[in-house]
Order: sequence, then structure tokens, then C-alpha cells
Amino acid sequence: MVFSSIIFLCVFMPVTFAVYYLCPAKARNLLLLIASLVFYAWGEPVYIIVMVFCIVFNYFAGRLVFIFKEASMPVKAEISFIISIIADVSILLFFKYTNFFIEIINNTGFKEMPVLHIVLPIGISFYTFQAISYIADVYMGNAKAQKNIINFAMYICMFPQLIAGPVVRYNQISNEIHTRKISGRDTAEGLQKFITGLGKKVIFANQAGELWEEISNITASGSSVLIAWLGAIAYTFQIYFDFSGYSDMASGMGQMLGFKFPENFNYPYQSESITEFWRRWHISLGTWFKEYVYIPLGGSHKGFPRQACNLFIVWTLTGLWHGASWNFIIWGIYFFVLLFMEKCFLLKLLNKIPKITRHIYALFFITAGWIIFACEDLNKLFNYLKTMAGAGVPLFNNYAVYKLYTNILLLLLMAICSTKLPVNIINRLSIKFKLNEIIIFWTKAAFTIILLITSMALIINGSYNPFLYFRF
Amino acid sequence: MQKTYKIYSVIIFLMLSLPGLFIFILPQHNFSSNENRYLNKLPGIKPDEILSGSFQEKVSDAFNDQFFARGFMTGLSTSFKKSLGFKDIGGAYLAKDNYYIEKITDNDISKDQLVKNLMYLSYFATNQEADVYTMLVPSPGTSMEYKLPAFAPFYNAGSVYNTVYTVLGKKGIIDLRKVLKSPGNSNKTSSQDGFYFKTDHHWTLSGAYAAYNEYCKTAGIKPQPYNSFNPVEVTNNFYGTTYSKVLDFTAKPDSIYAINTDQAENAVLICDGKKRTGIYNKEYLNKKDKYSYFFGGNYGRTDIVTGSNTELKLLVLKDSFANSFVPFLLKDYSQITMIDARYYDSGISGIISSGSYDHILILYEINNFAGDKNLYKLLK
Repeated sequence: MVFSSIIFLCVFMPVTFAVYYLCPAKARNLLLLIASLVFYAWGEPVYIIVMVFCIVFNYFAGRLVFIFKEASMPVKAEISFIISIIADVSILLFFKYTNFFIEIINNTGFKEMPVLHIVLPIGISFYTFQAISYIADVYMGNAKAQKNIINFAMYICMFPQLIAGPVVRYNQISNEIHTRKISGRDTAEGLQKFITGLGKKVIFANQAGELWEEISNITASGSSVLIAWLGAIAYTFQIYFDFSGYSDMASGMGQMLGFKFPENFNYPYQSESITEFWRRWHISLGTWFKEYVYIPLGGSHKGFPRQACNLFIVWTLTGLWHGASWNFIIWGIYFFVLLFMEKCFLLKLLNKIPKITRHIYALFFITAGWIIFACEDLNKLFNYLKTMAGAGVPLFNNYAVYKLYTNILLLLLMAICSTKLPVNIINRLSIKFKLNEIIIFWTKAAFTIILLITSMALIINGSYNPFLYFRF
Repeated sequence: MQKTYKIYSVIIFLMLSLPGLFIFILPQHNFSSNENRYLNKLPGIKPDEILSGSFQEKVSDAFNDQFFARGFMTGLSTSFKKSLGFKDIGGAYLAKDNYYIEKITDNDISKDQLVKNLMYLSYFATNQEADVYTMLVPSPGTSMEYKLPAFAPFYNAGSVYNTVYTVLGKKGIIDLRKVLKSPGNSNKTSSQDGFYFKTDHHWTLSGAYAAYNEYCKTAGIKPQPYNSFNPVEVTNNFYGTTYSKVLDFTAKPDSIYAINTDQAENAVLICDGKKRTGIYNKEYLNKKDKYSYFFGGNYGRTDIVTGSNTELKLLVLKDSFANSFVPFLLKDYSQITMIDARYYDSGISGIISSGSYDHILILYEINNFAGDKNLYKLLK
């Protein structure tokens, strides 16, 4: 089920939350589990079996690792830990990458293998990562193993973050799994956050997405440098508002349920370097790779060559995690190169140039990066980058002028809303006019009500409503 | 403050849950005349459809389509997009003077299909004893380019017409680009409207009359003045197909004019086997699809016995643009047969050999013609 659908907004969400608030605290984890399974089965009625297997397997694996650790049997603990990690990674590899590897083998020409008919189960990249974080936290002693399988299952498949994150690590919410309080404030603020996220998705991401979709499909004869850049900028906004909108919706609903999910985005397009960008973009994934890959590999503590190697591994994997296709690997390595250069010398250099140039530098490479990300077909990618660079096309054409002036307001609004500016303005105004809490709240409330009606109108009318991170 | 939180949360929950409830308790709608399409309804539960996911998709679609305030919500969505500065919505341009003009770009025109169709037509024409005339009506966006938003992309009509001339030659081609270009030429036609509807993709009676004039010149018929046909306004509340794409609150309805002569009233028709008198179908004036007032819409085959005192017979191979055009010709032919290839599957050659027609007219809007996949039937 997609958050930005009428059936979710008008049936699933009100019913689930009404029952959740009415039922006693003890039964809430079970209720949440059932709701999550219904939610997942709606979109993935067959492959839900994979998730159920993953839950049961990791529950017992976690118990086993924990029991061996408690009994001071480190070797056995380590062996069961390694086996469970291998199993989790294998599930992900099998469903996500089998055909990619088969195609690579076929391309080498040594052997011809038939491509398998495998459908990527929704959210598998997210829930296997959560399972791995659980096993790892138990093994490293950061958390106790969960005794109750209902609680554990609820952690793995909680519907707000099940299909597109944020990747909630087990030790971040292990306390809240057992006891959590929900205040009236949590519900109201959670709703506001949810609606803001819905608006980001439906009002911004979908409109930007439609623009990108149209531009990315035009033929070379109708293209120009300006139109290619417009498309790239549209996609840059689409992916941010799509994904951060989804995270806001997840964390808003999490708050309504009594959970505090980690922040996933922190105004990434305000960054002054690529290093900063990755501290602000998809934070939960970055932290996951840092905690469970980079640091276990030795991080920066084993000398510079080793660190470079670790970074390379982390970024190749980050790229690959986003999809089983060469462009994602290129995209990962592209960021490795940029980050590595920044680490070596570029950051020092950047600090000497004016702030605005640092922003331009960061946004340029971020936008170009998204084009690598967007074009799975490498020929298309190459041609698109060529057009952006101006090879063989005019600087602008009528089509570009038309698209620019009919979308300029949307683009400006998106640019402003992807920075902290609106929040800062609200804060300043409320200080300046000494607004009390209730006035501020109702102002926000009125805004979210308008936002909700507008979003619903666009959902009902609109045909274009994809979720980019569904594929991952 | 606690109370404030509660009130707000209840408001939002009601805003979400009530529309959900309405979908289950209010009667479901089959067809949206406003949007001119069938609506999705809640499906029955079928286990195999649940497993394949198609049940879930149908439910999601039904929830969008059966939303209780759908008409208001679609209009709201359009208003929002307009306020963002969008100039095309749902595949139609928000053009000047309240015109909605279908957006057709070069990508939408299939050159291959166009050339194919022209080849069918060319073969067809060479084998006829009758005089063959071809009238490919320019798209509204071509004739009213000056009404499109600035810099708005539109397909290159010049190159499409060049292709037409290249394949068919010049003989028998009635090019309407010039006469339909000028905005509602009021002296000649005393028209109260332009050549095309504001909210629909068809031409108006004035547009059809301008085409009639050109046709007469080519076919050697003496054209009658516009007023002699006694045109009357039959409705002033027509929201057409391009409106249905945009669904704009601020749209102004069109008027439909139709000629009001004894012949139009008394002509005898056989529409796909059904006999009736009079070329108009008044029922449609109470429906959304008011253009179907002319002949009651499209039939595969329509035979008209006009009652005119002449020997001439006409065969029209056409799309819906002919429906408001053919009435002008009732005087000039004793019998007119209209074939709409989309709905006609028997051979066209059979009609021709048994009908002894003097004139054959091919009448399509050019974009319809370029995309039509039924023209192979000309050779059947």
C-alpha cells in the first residue's frame, strides 16, 4: 500500500490508529504487527512469505547468539552470528542481484545462462538491513535479544518504515518496543509531520517527477542544454521530496505510535561539500554502513591505504544497495572519488573559496550524480550527460523556454522548501511577534489542513504517483 | 494545550475517515460525464486476483474514482496547478480567450502510420470512377496557433501536410489551413463563435461552413449563403472533450449551432440498420456529449435519403468532424452515405460497387487521420 493513496489515507490509517488508541497498551505490539502484515500483504501478497521467513529465522538466530554469549561461548556465538549474517545477505543477494550477476556472466561470453523470473519483494533491502542490525547489535553486546517473537516481528515489519525506511537500528528503539507513552501532543505533531511529508511527496515530488519524466523521454532533435538541465534539476528535487517526504510520513506515524525514529534528512541541498551532503542525506542508511561495514572493517584506524580501501568498499556497496544495475555502482564509485578527493585536499581548498561557490560546487556534483542514478540504461546516461554538456544541441529552444516559464514557480518553491529557510522564518516571526503556543499551533494546523485537502485533490486527479524508493 | 491537540487530531481523523466511509455507503457511479470516461468500481473478491495484486490495484483505482467529492477535488487540483503557472493540464493547453486546445506534439504523430494511411488512400483513390476529394481538417492547435501559450510546443503541421501532398499529389485535396486560420470571420458567416469550440476538439458550425464553401468550389457545386441554412443555437451549455481533460472550474461553456431546414428535419436515415427521420438527436442536448446532437453520434454506416431533387450521390469516409459538416450538403445530393471505418467492418468496395456514387469525400481531422488504425478497410 502506498501512503499517498486514498485507500491508505481514508481507510487503513484511520482504522489502524483508531483501534491502536482504543486497545490496551499490552496488546498494541500485536495489533501493530497484524496491521503491518495486512499493509505489506496488500502490496506483496505472495512474497510476504520471504519476510515471514526472515523474521522467524532472525528471531531464533538472535536468541542463539545471545544464549551463547551469555554462556561465555564466544566461538559458538561468532559462528552462529556469521551464519545468520550470511543467510540474511544471501536472501538479499538472491532476490535482488541474481539476474544482474547472470547477465554479467552472459556478457563475458563464457557461459549462457537463462535469466530467472524473480520479482524483487517490496522493502527487502530495508527489512534485511534491519535484521542484520539486530543480529549485529546482539552479537556486539549493544542490545539484548528479544524474547517475544511478536515484539521482534513488529520491529522488523512495522508499517511506517517497512518499505522505504528510515533504517531503524534495533538498539535505537529497543526500549520503546516494550514501553512507550503517547501524548496528545505526539499524535497532533505526528499528524502534522505526516501531512507535511504527504505534501512534499504529492505536491512537489509528483509534479517535479512529471516534468523529469517528460523531459527524459524527448528525442535528441527536440533537446537543448537548458532542457537537459531543467530535467536534471527536476529529478534532483523529485528524489529529495519523494524520499524525505516518505521519511517524514514514516516518522510522523512513528511518533503517533509512540516511537521516535531517527532523522533521515537534514536539508541536504544546503550542503557546502559532498562530505557534508552525505551527512545530511539518507542519514539512517549512511549510519548503517558506517556502523556495520566501515567500522568493522577497521574504519580509519588501520592506516591511510586501508582507510581508502574501506571507503571504496562502503561506497561501492552503497551504490549497489540502491539497485542491481551498473549505473548504481558507477554512482557509488563517483561519490567515493569525490569524497576521497575532499578528504585528501579538496575540503581545504574549498574552505578558501567563497561560500556561494562551495554551494554551487556541491549542487553541481549532486545534480550530476542524480542523473547517473536516474539513467539505468548506460547509453541513455551517456547521451543525457552529453546533452547537459552541450554536445550537438542548441543552448536553448522554444520547448525549453516554455518548460522553464511554466515551471519556474514550482522550481523556486521547491528550492526554498528544500532549505531551512521556511522554518527559520516561522521561528523568527513567532519570536518577533511574541506569538503564543496556541496561535503557532493553529497556524500550522490550518496550513496542514489546506495541505491535506490539496494533496488529496492531486492524488484523486493525478495519474503520476510513483514512489522512487520502492524499488530498493 | 492538550485540548487543542485533541481537537486538531479529531478534525484530521474525520477528514480522513469520512470520505473512506462514504465510499462504502454511498452508491457507486458508473460513468463520469464530466470527465467523459467510465469510472472504476469496487471489484468483487477473487482469490487469484488478490494473489496477483490486480484486486488491490482495482480497489485503489476505485477509491480514486468513487471519492464522494471527486468533481470538486479534480477542479481543485486543476486550480492548484494553474496557480503554479502550469499552462497545460491533462494533455490540453490552457489557451487564450478561454480556449482549451489539445496538446499534440511531434512525438504524438506517428509518421509511419500516417504514411501507411496515405498509401491506403492513394491506392483507394486510383481505382475509383467517382471523383475523390480529400479534406484533412487542421488540428485546432494548428489553426489557432496564436491562441496557444507562448512557446508552447505543437507538432509541425507544415511537414505533415507536405507528407500528404507527397503521397497523394494535389488532385482532389481540399486544404483548409488558410480558411480556418482567421478567427471567426463574421461578415461572411455571421457566426457568433470561432471556427472551433473552446471546450471541445471539434469545429463549430462556422468552421464546418467554411469547409463547405471550399468543398463546393472544388466539387463544382454552388455554395449557399450561411444564413440561408437558418442556423440556430441549440444549446449554450456545452462542455466538450478538451474541458474534460482539464476540468477547470473557470471554464465557460460553448454554444452549439445547427442548421434548421426542412430537409434536416425530414431526411430519412438508416443508421446501422435502424431507420429514423431527421438528422438530429435531441436527447443528447440533455447529456454531456452534446456534439452527438448531430446524427446521434457516430455509426459504422449511415445512409441518408435527402429528398433533394438531384441525381448526385455522395459517399463520405469520415470521423466525427463530418457530423456537423454533412448537413450543409443535404441540398446538393439525393443520397449521402457516411462510413466511419472505426465502427464499420464490412468491405467498403462492396458499398461503392452497389452505390454508384458520383463523389467520394474523405473527411478527417488530420491528427485523427494520422493515428487511425482502420484505414486498411478502404481496400477491403
